[in-house]
Amino acid sequence: MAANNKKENGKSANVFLIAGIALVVFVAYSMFLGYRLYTQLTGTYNNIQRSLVDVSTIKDNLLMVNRDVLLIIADPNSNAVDNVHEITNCFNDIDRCMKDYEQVEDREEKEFRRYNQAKTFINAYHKKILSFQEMYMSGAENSESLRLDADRAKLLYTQELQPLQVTALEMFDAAKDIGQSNSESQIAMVYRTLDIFMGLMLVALVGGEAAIIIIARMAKAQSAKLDKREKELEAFDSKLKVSKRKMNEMAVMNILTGMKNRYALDEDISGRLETDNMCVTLLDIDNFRQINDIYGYDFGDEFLGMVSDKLKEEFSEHAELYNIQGNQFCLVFKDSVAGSQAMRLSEQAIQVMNNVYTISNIGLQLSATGSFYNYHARECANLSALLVKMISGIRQGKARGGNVLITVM
Amino acid sequence: MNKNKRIFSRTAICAMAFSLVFASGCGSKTEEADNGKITVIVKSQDPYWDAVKNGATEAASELGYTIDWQAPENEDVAQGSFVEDAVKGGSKAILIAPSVADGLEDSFKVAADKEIPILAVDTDIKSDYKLSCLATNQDAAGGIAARQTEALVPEGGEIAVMGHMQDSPTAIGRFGGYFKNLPHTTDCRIPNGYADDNELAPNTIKARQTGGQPVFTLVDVKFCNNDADLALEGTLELINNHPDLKVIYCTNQTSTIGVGRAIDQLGLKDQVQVVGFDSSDEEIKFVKEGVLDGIVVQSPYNMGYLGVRYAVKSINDYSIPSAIDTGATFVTQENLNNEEVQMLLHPENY
Repeated sequence: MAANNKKENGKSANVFLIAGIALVVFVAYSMFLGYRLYTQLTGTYNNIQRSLVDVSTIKDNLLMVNRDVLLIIADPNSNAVDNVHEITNCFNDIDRCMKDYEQVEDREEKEFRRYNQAKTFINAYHKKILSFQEMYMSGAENSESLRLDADRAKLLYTQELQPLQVTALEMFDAAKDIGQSNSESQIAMVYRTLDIFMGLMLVALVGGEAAIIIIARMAKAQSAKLDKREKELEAFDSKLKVSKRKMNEMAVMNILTGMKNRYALDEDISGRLETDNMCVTLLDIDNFRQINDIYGYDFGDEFLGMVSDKLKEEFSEHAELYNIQGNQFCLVFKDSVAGSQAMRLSEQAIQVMNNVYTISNIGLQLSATGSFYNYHARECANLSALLVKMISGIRQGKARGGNVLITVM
Repeated sequence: MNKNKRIFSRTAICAMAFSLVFASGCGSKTEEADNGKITVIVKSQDPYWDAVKNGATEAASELGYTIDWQAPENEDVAQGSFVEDAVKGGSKAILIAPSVADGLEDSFKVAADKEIPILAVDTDIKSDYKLSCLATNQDAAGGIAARQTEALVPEGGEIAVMGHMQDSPTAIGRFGGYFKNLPHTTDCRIPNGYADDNELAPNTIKARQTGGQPVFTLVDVKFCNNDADLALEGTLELINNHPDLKVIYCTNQTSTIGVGRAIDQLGLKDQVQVVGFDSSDEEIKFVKEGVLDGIVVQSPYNMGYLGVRYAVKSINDYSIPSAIDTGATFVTQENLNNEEVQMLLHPENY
């Protein structure tokens, strides 16, 4: 059972660990993805802005070129040189913007194709303007020597220059539209991805949190269960200890008389036989078997109980009392009791036992025989040897008719 | 417990997998929008109109539209029914290259009533419902040809015209624009409906001749009825009748090819300068060989492309110009390989 609990606890810990790692990985991955989307979005916005600025500048310059051409046609003598200079500057600006436009990476093929077409038209327009300048401006200082008259110049402008300019502008617009549409699609895609991703993140986080809460609750329930089991075990352990103590007590106690038994005597004095002197008295109730035979065992037991109570009452102060067998009692006198006193007390004990005891209105009086042993260290190797001597004394006393204290040596 | 663990781990894995998929798809393109269809009705089926179709299709694709292409077998097929079908079919705009000068007004009205913008491409048409026309200005194209003729033949001389159809507005426009810009005198009968009101005055001719400036003399005007063989025969006749002929001006592809073949056969490429129109493979070959000295090339691709762009502008309620000249380029042996010329001839490569 304990092994199972340990295993369950281990599993819970693993789940928490995995959940934690998964969340950390997920959050880290989300941050990376978020950063990537942000970078992409910023790049796209920058590209759009850059392209719009370039296209807008190119268109402005084309319109300015157109205006200058018209001014030259209208009045070639007044400010033609300035206008030509401005046209040159405009085309320099256009070149710069086109180079900048070309530097933007990741353009769609369609957009680049359209841009190249626009660029070709612009180059053709530029070439045509230069040829126009050559034809029209070579004699600008002297209007009479102009190689083209104003009407012809206007026709040249409307028929050859303007269509090129209009087409170039439109192609550039088309390139810009494609780029913008593509960028808008990319931005929309990024936003859609962000939306979906945020939704997924929310689901994952809520799911993760829910899972953690569920697991935490389960762990809590498991822990409560374990606590309960621990308490039960503690209670069981306590009961076991009580039982064990009782068993121990029972092992050294005579249940009937409440006195220590022979095992207790063995434990108490075996260790002392080698080293200590002590006074020991063995008492045996005479003719006790007859009580059992006449009145039954219950009656006999009652009688033994009363005798032992009386002995305890009278002699506990001076000696340790043992009921080593049915009707045999042993008194091990304390060190404070001298040998003569012990003998006297032993005789008193025989008298106490000789009293009349009333049980169920029946008065009973039985004599007792005792053997007294003033033991000196190392006289007996063990308790059995000691008891053999003392029982021998009892037998001697009984042989004399009982109710006597025999001293053994 | 195990079930919960499974759910948790699966949710986490799914979330990461989905996010990975979406993250990897960030740079990818979204699906193209479908804003509807634009009907393009042309005159017939030939490479010229295919170029218009390419331009229109590409512009439509870029702007999220589809093209409903209507090309009758020949120019005799009435286009009114195409317009009405486009209206019924839910077209958002109609681009039409009208094959007739009138007779489409009722159909246009049906479209205009449904607020469907109508734009003319290639050829203009008079109409109250047409919003714009994207075409080469024929007058301007004639002007370009005239200026280049003057540059090609600085000494001037006799000039003849090989027109493709006498009653064709295109032929009339190109004739008018040409002679309006060419310093010339006329020594032949001008066909009815053709303008030749810019003839040099006698004193101007004298002044120009004195100043070394070219003066041309229009000696004949012929028509080949859009048949290259007839153009060839007509050219032989012109050469025979006018041995000092310096220039032949042709008003379309068929007449240019016919004249080119004749000059090639006669081996007169150094004596007679031929200025024509359009850019078929045979014409390009003649330009390379020097049989044709210059051809005025329109940009049918740009007409289709810009036509759809302007149509979408009008669908979106932007104002558009009533006429847009898609321009013309004079292609010669010298500039044939220039980038801008190659882009006109082969827009699909650019």
